[in-house]
Amino acid sequence: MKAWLRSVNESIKPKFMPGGTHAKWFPIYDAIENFIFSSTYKTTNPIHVRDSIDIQRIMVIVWLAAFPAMFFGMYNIGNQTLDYFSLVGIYNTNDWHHVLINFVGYTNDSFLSKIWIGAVYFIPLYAVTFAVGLLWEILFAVVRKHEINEGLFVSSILFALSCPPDLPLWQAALGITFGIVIGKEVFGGTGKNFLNPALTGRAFIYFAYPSQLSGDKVWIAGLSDTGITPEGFSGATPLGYAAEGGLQGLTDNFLWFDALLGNIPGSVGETSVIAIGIAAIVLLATKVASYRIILGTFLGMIVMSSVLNIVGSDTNPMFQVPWHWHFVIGGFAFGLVFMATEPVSGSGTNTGRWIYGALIGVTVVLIRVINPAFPEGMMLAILFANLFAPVIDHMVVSNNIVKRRRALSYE
Amino acid sequence: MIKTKKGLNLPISGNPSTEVDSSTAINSIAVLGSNYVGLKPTMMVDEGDAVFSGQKLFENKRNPGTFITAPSSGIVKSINRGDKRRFLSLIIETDITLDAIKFDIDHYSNSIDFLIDTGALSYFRSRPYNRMPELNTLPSAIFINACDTNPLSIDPHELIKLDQDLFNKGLHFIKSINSNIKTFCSYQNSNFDKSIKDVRYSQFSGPHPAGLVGTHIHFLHPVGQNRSVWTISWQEVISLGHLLENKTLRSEKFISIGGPNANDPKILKIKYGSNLLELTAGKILENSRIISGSVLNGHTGEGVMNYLGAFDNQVSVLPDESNDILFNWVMPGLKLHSKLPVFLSSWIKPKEFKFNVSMNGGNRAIVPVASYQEIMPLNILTTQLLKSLVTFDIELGEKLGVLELAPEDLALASYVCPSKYDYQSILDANLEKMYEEFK
Repeated sequence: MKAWLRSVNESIKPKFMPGGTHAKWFPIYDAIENFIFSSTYKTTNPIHVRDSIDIQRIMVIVWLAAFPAMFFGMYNIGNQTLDYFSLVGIYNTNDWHHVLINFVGYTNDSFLSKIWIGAVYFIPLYAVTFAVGLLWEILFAVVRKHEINEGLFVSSILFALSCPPDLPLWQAALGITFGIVIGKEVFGGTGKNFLNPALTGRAFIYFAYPSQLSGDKVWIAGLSDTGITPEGFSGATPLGYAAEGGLQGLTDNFLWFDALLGNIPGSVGETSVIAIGIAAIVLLATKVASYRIILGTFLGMIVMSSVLNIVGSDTNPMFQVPWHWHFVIGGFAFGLVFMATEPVSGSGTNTGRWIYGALIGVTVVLIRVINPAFPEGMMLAILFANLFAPVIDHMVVSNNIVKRRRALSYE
Repeated sequence: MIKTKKGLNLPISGNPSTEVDSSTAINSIAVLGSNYVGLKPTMMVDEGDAVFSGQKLFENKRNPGTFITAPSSGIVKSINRGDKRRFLSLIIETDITLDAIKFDIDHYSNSIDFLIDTGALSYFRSRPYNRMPELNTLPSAIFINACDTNPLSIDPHELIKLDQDLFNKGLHFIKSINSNIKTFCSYQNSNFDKSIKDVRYSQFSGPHPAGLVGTHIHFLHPVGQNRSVWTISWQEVISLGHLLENKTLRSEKFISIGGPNANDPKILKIKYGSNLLELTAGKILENSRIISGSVLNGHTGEGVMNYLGAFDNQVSVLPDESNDILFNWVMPGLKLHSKLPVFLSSWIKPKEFKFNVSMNGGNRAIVPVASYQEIMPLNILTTQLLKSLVTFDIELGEKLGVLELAPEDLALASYVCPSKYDYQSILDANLEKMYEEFK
């Protein structure tokens, strides 16, 4: 098998090498070759052995780490939808999803049914995201003559997981386009971006199409299509309830434990802190994510929310929400583990990573609590910190330079 | 004792034993241009000339008044140049019937003149820039390195004790060059002989690069634009002692041979500049890459470049093959080594890692992974320094500590780089540019 694949590869390779008939498509060939075979390049002077790690490995680890959140997300889409349908007594999403869902059917307590409904919503969303992202990657790779970077795997899955389940597919396509092109490729590709590409795309559609990305109707698949909201039901996420009723609003409608498990409405991958926690363990154990950023963000969030708890407010009920609720609602955990830890757009110094994390933690609470316009703050907090990362690094570097000068100023 | 924690010891097989083998016959030696940074030679011999050990071969045009001398007597077989007439190598067929030139220290008014005339000044390198010392400048300190933490190296103490008198004689001479120059000697083994007065001995311990002189300089007497030091390794200190004792250049040195493809890893006593094919004949497996120096910072070459480097104290032999794994990106990697725990091998430690000359990845832009900082024991922001090197921002680089470094100090950064940069060559180019602008 291996020998056969190798021989096929050797026979088509010359066509894609310089001078070959398809030389300009080399990046596509290279990407497929790297997908199947390990790199066959040999080391050159002066270094003759190399660590077995490469960017592909790092990106694949993050991609795989997102799988628990993805599978739970699919289950949760189905779970929320079936709960809602049983409440209103209608079993029809009123669009093309319905045709596909009917293969398995709307069975209230069936695990298969829930996963299937989730798959019918999520897989097209992810497929479109990946395909459109890949198209842009290929275009830039061919025109700028560089390799196709595996960062797309991560950007695409994180983008898709951060979307509401019912997002129109053309909006997903526009979002990932903006993320890949403006968030990354115009600066030279993965490694040279200063904003997190997935979040850049997410922020773009958030502001461009607010009616599909905010409000109470978009977090349960099928809700916006049927449009029926019975008495006492709004479809809002816990953050929506908290903005209205503070801690009381949360505890009246949700159990903290459910929010931890992820049995709540929200973006596809963000709801289950448990599934995201599995990813956090993988990313920290492999040292792909920086524990400094994660702890920094966590501490920043705890400190800021506790300060606001103490300060209190008569008019804004969000002030009362304690840190352990901030932790399990909205996109905090998802952003913390997958987005804030992105090494390129985050701070690049170890000291800076603590400050960068703390900045995210403080900002997310400020946006959630003080800002009246946006119930969710994690996306904006991370993008805000991305912008500050170079400044933070500059301060750390300057400090290091001063210390080095002192060491050099002779005995 | 100075203990460092950050760094990396490669778990590579084929560590040499301390058995010394002096039986290898060498008929061809060479002086390589790549030994000396910033070299532009003016030849003083021609092809076909007979040269005597200690005879001047060429003068460095960029550092006038400094010479490289022949390490052994013989006939100049060829002088080889590459692109743009860059000097590659000068090959000598050795001839033991030819005498060696005698140098008597008493005939010289000062020790620097003695070093220049014998060519022994080339035993030293100055830091910053890692070049041969310039005339009429004296360093503020001289660092003698009696450590070696490179992969497949052995503790130099094992070899120094065989020639302890010569080593101490050389050390005494270095200490006496000028009383204003501090003399530092770093060592690893607690039994190291520390008997020379006024020499500042320091013990270093920790993973590689704890044994590199760049690490010692950083902790003991850091250098920069306004302060330079000279460095010399234990091998050349013995050679200096030999020169003082016997009045002729030491033509042989101790090196270790090791690596996965070495049959019998051990110590060889071998001529300076030995031909690597002659040196390894019968000692290695087929399909090997022979490297003069360590696997992290050495050179391999064919024909006119296939010779032992002047400062290399080891020869490493690796299988000349790359990994061939289907769908490697999802494979657990039971035998693949990495500084970051991204393979199963970090948890289920294999008996043996597979080290060969595989690049293990394609070229990408720098992604600031944790491993860059984890291999750097110096107070240097590695990721930022590497980025300043890649962008040739020499002003920032100087502030971040580039002048403290020689390529060997960044070898581990190249090793762990997931984007497969070669920071050693990039550092070389940066230092060249800095030398032009700052000097």
